[in-house]
Amino acid sequence: MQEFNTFNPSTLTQTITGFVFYAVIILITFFGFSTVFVLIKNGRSRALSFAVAVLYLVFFLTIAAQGVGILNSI
Amino acid sequence: MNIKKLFPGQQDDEEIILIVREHWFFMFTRVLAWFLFVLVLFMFDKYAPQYIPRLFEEPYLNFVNLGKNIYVMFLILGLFMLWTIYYLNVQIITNRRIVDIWQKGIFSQRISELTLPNVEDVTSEVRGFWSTVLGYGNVEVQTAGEKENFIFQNIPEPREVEKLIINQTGHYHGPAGNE
Repeated sequence: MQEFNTFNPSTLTQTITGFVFYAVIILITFFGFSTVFVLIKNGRSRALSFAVAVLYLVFFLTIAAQGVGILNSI
Repeated sequence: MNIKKLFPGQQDDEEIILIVREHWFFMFTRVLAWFLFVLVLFMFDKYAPQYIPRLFEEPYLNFVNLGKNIYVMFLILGLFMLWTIYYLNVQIITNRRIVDIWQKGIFSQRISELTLPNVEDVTSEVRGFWSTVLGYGNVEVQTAGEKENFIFQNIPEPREVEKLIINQTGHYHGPAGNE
């Protein structure tokens, strides 16, 4: 408990946190871009498929950028 | 005549009569389930500071914010995948055949086709309170031979779809019988 009270983020903690965060980003990017690819390839309305894909990418990149900013402050 | 192609394998002179998807109510229930996960985030923001105030002090606050950020990314991905699978799951009735495109998952798709001359019988079914109120049900297309029957599940206006298929098959089998 004493260690917990005096806990400070160390270089190791930052490294592990960064590793976990970027592993999650890669995973979500893989599934997200796969979904975009499948949607544009198989979607019946090109315009709608592109619009939804762009909407998703904008949201995802915004949140990811925010996450990177938070990671840098750890 | 230049007919727009909307699915793989569509013939040059093949005209699309109807595109059918699952009734919107089922997408709504999935979005509602997704929304419960969004609610978890709001509940955390509202109640966690009261019960675990330590978590919202430095240096833990940044880790909490990072965790929330990852959670939101999963939420957005989940909604996107939900919508994509709903949108790509479709049955198409043309003047020549019925095509069932079943998007099982992002990396899994099954396409089944049934030519109209092979349609033996079409049955529509509306069963249950919500089905009756919202107007959705199933349409089963019986095929000639040993092929599996086509089933359109939870589609809107099943009776109209049934009549449409029967009218289309009438071009091959002769006029449809009296109702």
